Amino acid sequence: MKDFRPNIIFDKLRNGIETPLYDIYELYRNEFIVWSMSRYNCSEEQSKDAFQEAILDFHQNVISGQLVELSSTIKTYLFQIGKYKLINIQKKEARLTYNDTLQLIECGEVSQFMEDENKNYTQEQINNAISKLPEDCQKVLKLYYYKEFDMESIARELDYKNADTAKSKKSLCMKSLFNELKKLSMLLIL
Amino acid sequence: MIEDEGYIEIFERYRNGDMDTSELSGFEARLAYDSEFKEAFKLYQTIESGIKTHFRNELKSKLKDVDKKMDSTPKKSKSLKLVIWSSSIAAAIVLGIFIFNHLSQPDYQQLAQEYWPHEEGLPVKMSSVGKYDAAMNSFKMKQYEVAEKLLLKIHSDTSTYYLGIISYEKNEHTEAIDLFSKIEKSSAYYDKAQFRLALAHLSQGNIVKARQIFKTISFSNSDFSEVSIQLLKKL
Repeated sequence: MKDFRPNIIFDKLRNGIETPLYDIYELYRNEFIVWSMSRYNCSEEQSKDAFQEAILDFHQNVISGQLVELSSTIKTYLFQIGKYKLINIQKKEARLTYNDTLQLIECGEVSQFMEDENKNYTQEQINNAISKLPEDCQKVLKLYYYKEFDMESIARELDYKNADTAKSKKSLCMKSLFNELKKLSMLLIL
Repeated sequence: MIEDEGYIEIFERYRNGDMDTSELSGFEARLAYDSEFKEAFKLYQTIESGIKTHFRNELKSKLKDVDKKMDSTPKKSKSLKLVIWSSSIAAAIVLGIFIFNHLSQPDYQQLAQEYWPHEEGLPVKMSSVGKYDAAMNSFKMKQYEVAEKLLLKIHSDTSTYYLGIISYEKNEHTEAIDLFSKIEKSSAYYDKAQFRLALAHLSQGNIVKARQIFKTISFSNSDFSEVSIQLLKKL
């Protein structure tokens, strides 16, 4: 039987187990859809998107230590975040429609914006570069940057000798990532 | 280029907190005067945030997989649905006749009492004097007449909420309904008051009204939504 007690869920998430997130999502998603569609005049897709974002924020808040205990139920907490996520999604979509129009009017400004963007790597390039890294590197980067594990915990999780080994591994992985990004940008130039 | 200049190693040392004080101040000074170094560090930070976004998106796509699983639950054909509906309706009619003939009307007042949440009252501190202290002391000792007199002197959603509870406890359910209805959505007591309002209607036998409120609560993010669903099943 699935255990939805907050302290159990928090412990699992802090230890890098993600299954409670899927269970919570499955448990409350439909209720959130009914609730949000009746209150905020949104589409089902917007509602699902907002609830997914709420689950991700909840996860991030727990693993970063910002959320240690809840003063309400998990459901209330998620619905509150979901509500604001939904409002942001609706605002963002309205803004995008506005920007689409703006693009047609102010082509000069838009091309300047595009030039600025090109100085950096796009998220798509970063995604591609990460997927080209060996599996152990992907794990190290995920544990460090997403699950916010310290080096000792990474060493324990991935069976490295100690925190220093984990540190060296992470540096190597970052170098490999930059090399992959360099290769990708070279391909773009060619 | 960031990867050619050994910058990554420096940034990694900085990120891992491996720099001593002098190295750290050297690093920070370089960020101020060396624009190429500063740009490279900005790029490094962008990649770091890109890594985070990548793994967040990865998790989000797993939630989308849950969506697919939930949304692909096979839907029953119309004819099968019709058969199920007709059978359910027939069963409900038979059950209804059985209940009508053999059982007396459910005791709604008892059901409401069963679900009536215990209210602790506001905390009374020894170190300071609060405006609700005297009323709360009486309320906690179930001296409802005294508490009522004291609360009537205060005009707030807090006092209205507690006056509602007192009326209910004194079996003055109509008065309780009136008081709980006055608590506005913006109040911290709104969710609690709505649940108690539904119970007060239930104890009066106003089943339609009670059901309507429980239904609204069940669709809300109130702490009472689960219990409202339970109650709806019983009504």
